[in-house]
Parts: sequence; C-alpha cells; structure tokens
Amino acid sequence: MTPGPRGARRLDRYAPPAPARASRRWRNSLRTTVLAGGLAIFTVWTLFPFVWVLETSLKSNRDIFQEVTLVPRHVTLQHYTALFHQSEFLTYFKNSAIVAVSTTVIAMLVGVLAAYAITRLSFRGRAFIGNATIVTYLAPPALLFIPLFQVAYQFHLTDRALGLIPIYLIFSAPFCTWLAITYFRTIPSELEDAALVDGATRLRSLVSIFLPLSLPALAVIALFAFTNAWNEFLFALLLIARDSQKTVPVGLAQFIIGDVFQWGPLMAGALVASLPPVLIYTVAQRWVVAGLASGATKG
Amino acid sequence: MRSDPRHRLTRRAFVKGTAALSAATALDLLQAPPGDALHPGTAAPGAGTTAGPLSAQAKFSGKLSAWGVVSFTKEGDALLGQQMAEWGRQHNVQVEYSPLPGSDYFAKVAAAVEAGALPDVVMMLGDQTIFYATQGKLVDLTDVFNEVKTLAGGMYKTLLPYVTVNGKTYAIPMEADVTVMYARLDLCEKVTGKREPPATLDALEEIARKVQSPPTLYGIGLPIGRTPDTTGNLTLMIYADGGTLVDGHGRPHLENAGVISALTRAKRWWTDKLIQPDSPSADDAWNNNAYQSHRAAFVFNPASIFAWLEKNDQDLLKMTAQAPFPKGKAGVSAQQAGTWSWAVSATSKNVAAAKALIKDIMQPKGLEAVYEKVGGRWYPVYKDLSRADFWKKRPFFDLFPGIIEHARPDWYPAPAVPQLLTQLSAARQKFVLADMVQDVCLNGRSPEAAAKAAQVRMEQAFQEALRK
Repeated sequence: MTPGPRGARRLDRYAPPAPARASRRWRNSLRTTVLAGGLAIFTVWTLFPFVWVLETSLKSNRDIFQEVTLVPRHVTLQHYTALFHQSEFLTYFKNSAIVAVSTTVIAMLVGVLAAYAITRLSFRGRAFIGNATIVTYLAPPALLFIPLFQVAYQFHLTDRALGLIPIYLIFSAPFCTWLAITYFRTIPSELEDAALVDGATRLRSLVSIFLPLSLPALAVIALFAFTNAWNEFLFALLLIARDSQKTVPVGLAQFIIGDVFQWGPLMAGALVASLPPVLIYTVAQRWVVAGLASGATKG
Repeated sequence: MRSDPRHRLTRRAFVKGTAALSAATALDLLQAPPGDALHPGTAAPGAGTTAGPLSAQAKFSGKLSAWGVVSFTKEGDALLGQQMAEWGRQHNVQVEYSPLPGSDYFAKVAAAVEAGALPDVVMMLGDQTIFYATQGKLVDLTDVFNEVKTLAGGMYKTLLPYVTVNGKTYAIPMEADVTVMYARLDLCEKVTGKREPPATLDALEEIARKVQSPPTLYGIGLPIGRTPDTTGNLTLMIYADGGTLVDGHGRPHLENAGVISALTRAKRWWTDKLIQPDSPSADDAWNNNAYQSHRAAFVFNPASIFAWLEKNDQDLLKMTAQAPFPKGKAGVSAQQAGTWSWAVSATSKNVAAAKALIKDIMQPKGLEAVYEKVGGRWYPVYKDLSRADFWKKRPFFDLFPGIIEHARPDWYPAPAVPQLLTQLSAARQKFVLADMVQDVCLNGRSPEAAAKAAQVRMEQAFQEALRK
C-alpha cells in the first residue's frame, strides 16, 4: 500500500535532506566503483596466468619465442595434437585420476573414522593422537623423500602408479583427520546423544547425524586431498620411472629437456591437467564456501 | 581330512627339491660376480670385472632396467628403447628403458642410490660417474670399455677423465656435450662487412655495442644467475683471459689475473647494458630463450639451440653460426666438452647382461642412428662417426671434433684425479663462480674483492667435499 500525501509527509520528516541523499548516493556509487574496480583487478590478476597458458598453447614454437602478445596471430592446435597423439598424456591423465580419486576416498574414510573416534570416544591417549596427526602432516616431504623411497622400495611400491596411493596417504590422511576433528568438535554432542538414546549405533550416528551435518567440511577435505594428490610431483618423480605408470606432473616434466623448454606442449598439458580440479571446485563451490566459512566461525 | 596326494610333501620330494634348490643356488653363485653374490648391494669398485665374457654367445636371463635422461626428441628415446628391447629379445632378457626428465634427474638418482634401488643400467651426466664410483656404487666397466674404445676411429680421449677412477673405467661415454658460441651472422655483417663470427671477445664486444637496441635486442646473452650455464660461460671467459680455477696441484686459485680480467669484462658488459637486465635471475634455459627469441646477438651454449632452430626456425638458423669460444687477453680460445655415459649399478643382480647390453648399444651403427634421431643434440663419441652423412650435411658441426680434442676441463692445469673432480663438483653446486660475478655486477664489489671472497668460498667447498 502506498502512503497517502499525509503519510508521505510523515515519512519525509524522517528522510535525510536532499544534499545528504546526494552525498549518500555518491558514496554508494564510489563504493561500488571501488569494489568493482578491485574485483576487476583481482580477476585480471587471477586469470592472467591462465590466459597466458592458453595463448601459449595455441601459438607455434616460433611465435612463442618471437611474439609477446595476448592473442596469437596464428592459432595452431599442433601442441594439443602432439600432446594427445605423440605423448602418453592420456595414460598419465588416467594414472593421475586413479591415484587422486583413490587417495581422496581412502583419506576421507580414514580421516572421518579417526576424527569421529578422537572427538566422540573416550580412550587413553586420545588427545595425544589428535595432536600427533597434525605433527605428522607438518613434516616436510623434502626431508622424507629418501626414507620413504627406501620404504616404498622394500614394499615393492616403486614403479607403479598405485604404489603412490599409500605414500600420498601418509600426508593426506593426517590432514583430513585434523580437518575433520576441527569440524566434528563444532557439532553439538546432544544431537548424537539423542540418536543413541533412540537406539542408534555409533556407526548409524556417524552416518545419519555427523556426515550430513559435515557435508561442507567433507567437501573441503575432499578437495584438498584431491588437489594435493593430483598436483604432487616430488614423490611421483622419485618413485616412478616407467612411462606407463607416470602421473601428469611427471609426464609433463618430460617436455623440459635439459635447457630446452617445449613451452607449447607443456602449456597445453598444464591447461588440460588443470581442468579436473577447476571442474570439481566449480561443482563443489557452494559446499566449499560454506565449509570454509563455518570452519572460520565455529572452529 | 587327508590332503591331496598330489600336493603331499614326501621325504623323496623334499630331498629332490632341496637338491634342485642347492644346484640352482650354486649355479647362480658361479654366474654372478663375486661382489654381487657374496655381498649383495655392497659391491666395491671392481666388482663385476670377472663377470664373464661379453661375447655374443654368452647366455643371459632375467630382467634389466635402464634409466636415461630424455633426449631432444621422442624418436631418439624410442629408438634407444627399441635397441635395448631388441637386444633383450635376442638374449632372453626383459629390458625396460625409462627416459626421465632431466630437470630432476640428479635427485632421482641420488634417492635411488641411497635406497639401493638404482636400476641395472643408468645414464651418468658429466662427473656424476666419479662421484658414485668413488663411493663404490658403480661396477668397473673397464672390460666393456676395452672392447669399444677402438671402434669407429676410437673414442675421444678428452672425455675419459669424466668416467675414470684410478685407471678403471666406470662408465662408457655415449655422447659428447660441446659448448659453442652462437653468433648472429647478419648482425656481424652489418658491423664488419663480413659474414663471420668474431674471433675475439673484444671484437664480440664491439659488434654487440653497435648492433644492440634494447629492449628488443641485447648484444650478449651472458647469464649471471645461479645456474650451471653461468659457471660454464664464466669459466670459458676466465680461460680465454689466461686464468684458471685451480693451480697445478688442484688447489683453489681464483685470485689470478685471468679471473680479474674476466670479471672486469663481465662488469663492463653489465654496466654498459650489453646483457639483458633479467640475466641475474637466469636459469639454464635463459640463454636458449634469449637467442631463440632474437633478443641476443651472441650466446654460449651446447648444441641444444641448434637442434631447436633446425626444427622450429630455419630463418634464424640461416643467420646463425656455431663458432668456437672467442679468444681473450691470453690469445687462448678455450673450449669445453663433457659427456653423458652409461654405467652399471653395483646393486645390479644381472651385471653380465647389463655389460653386454651397454656393449651392444655402443656399437657405432646403432649409436649413430640414435644421434640422428636426436637431431644433433648428442654428438658422437667415436671420431669416425662425425664423418657420417648426417654430420657432413650439417657444416655447423665441422668444428666440434676440434673442440672436443682440445677441450679444457675445469681442473686444468691440474691432473684429473677423482678427488679434485668431486671438489670442483661441490664448488659448482654452491655456484661459487655465479656468486662471484654477481658480487661484481650487482653488489658493486671490485673484481679483486669478489675473487678474494670466491676463493674463500671455493676453499670451503673443497674442504666440505673432502669431509664427505
């Protein structure tokens, strides 16, 4: 209902005078402009490397070295052809997918069960185990690579892509556990108590109460575990020699031959390899943002 | 419940099995080299010298794995792998060759050595052979070397110090790595009227000053970053100006007139902006990129630039000369040549087969086929192979045999002893020379002060290498 003339006059009494309104409008538009400008700069800053990678992958070798442009003068798909037809890129991609997905699933399974036990069950050494998980994660991989190489060799895990999964779990599982612990602590114990009173088992309580409530956290955990396993280079390089078992990061490194960088196929491969994480982030964005935000406020 | 009589262990079956196992073990002990059989994984240098004949009639079995650095072309890697696999098929051995990224090859080999997981056959880069042979990690390949050293006109002798320890050969050189000057002939012609590369560093500087037009073209692509190329380029400048890195006894000797002269020259080039401003952050690909992108008139590098130009930029190739490093104050044209080589791991359980495989892939015909597939990045180690059609059709390489023959190693004028090579390797890893030239160009130190500080760092590196 629109106010009548009397009502309008009454409302006008509370409205700021015209110069103040103009000033507020000006301030608002300035704020919008600054925000939009900031976002534009941030977007360009973020997207520039991707644009550079894309345009490099579409240039000929000669143009890569001679043309410093954002838009290629002559577009060529030769590097993508080389990538898919003259290298084992699809094999590397398949290996990376198997390793990253398996690592993620196992790390989540281990992490969730461990976090549940640490946060909800009473047993001696619970606090110590909880703290020890993060200490394990903090050990720099560069220090561990020779001992881990020896362990992997003794267990016949070298030279096979699947052998990377237990190695990656050494780093992923503690991290997932730690993240899950942080989140599970924010879930009120009354919810679980109610379920237990109603006759639910611990496992039922975990599946029906904890996991649905933890979806945002689980999305974040999965993304971190997947991205880490997908991008990992050092251990994949050390443990794998056979071409048929290499993952994408090590496979792409073969385009660096001593002092010669084959930028075209390298960029084409990097672009294709970045698609799965980008795709997963895009799909899971809603949960990820919720997970990160809830971690920030509740943790 | 009675067990299946076919699977029942009877006394007779047990005795038969034990006898067969003992016979097999004894046979294995007889066939394996002493070091391997008695002390697996700890064979000392020299292990394998009695590994048996390398003749084609020898019987082998089992598996062999081999690691190498990726060559310049996928076809080159594939052919090398095929040659190994073919030898394996003929000799009942399953051979698997893995070409690995060069950027992290040292780390991978180091980790594998520590874990005792080095493959049977492994490619060694430069003086890596000396480093591991002195630790007892490699098998003595003198017998293999004696069988291949005289093939196709013989092997270049200047490559041998990189693979020899106390008179024994621990790896077989498979390619020669030659550093040359890449010169833009069109730019030289503009200044001198002659389509010839400069013969002296002074002439080079004069041309560079006249042709350069920053930021699109700089005169000299000299890297001064903490990268092996800086060490290599500066060493050649020091030699050209009459200096050395060590004295006749192999002691660090950087405070000499040649070093001061080379540093003075580098500082002048830097101050006068003949060198690109991003040179201090150069990596190993920096001078390749500088030349290939037409941003440098002169660079000093191995043949990787030629291989790239031949494949990707014929126009620039026509304007390019590969030339010896120019002479400096001392009137010396110092040259560098190194080698990549094949070694056998002391932990290999199939040493005899590994040796026979190396002997096979070192046969000139097969080796030349690989060189050709690699497209010029790997130069022959056998003298006569440089007369093959592939090289004859590429006059760019005419000067390579001379460079290899007269190459001056880092340890000049001292004799090549393993300890000195290891110490020099330690100094290289600490980028003593790169830090020295950066001190002069970036930190404003005088050449004398920079040389003095570098001398201290080099002495420390030598001491640390001794302690290890």
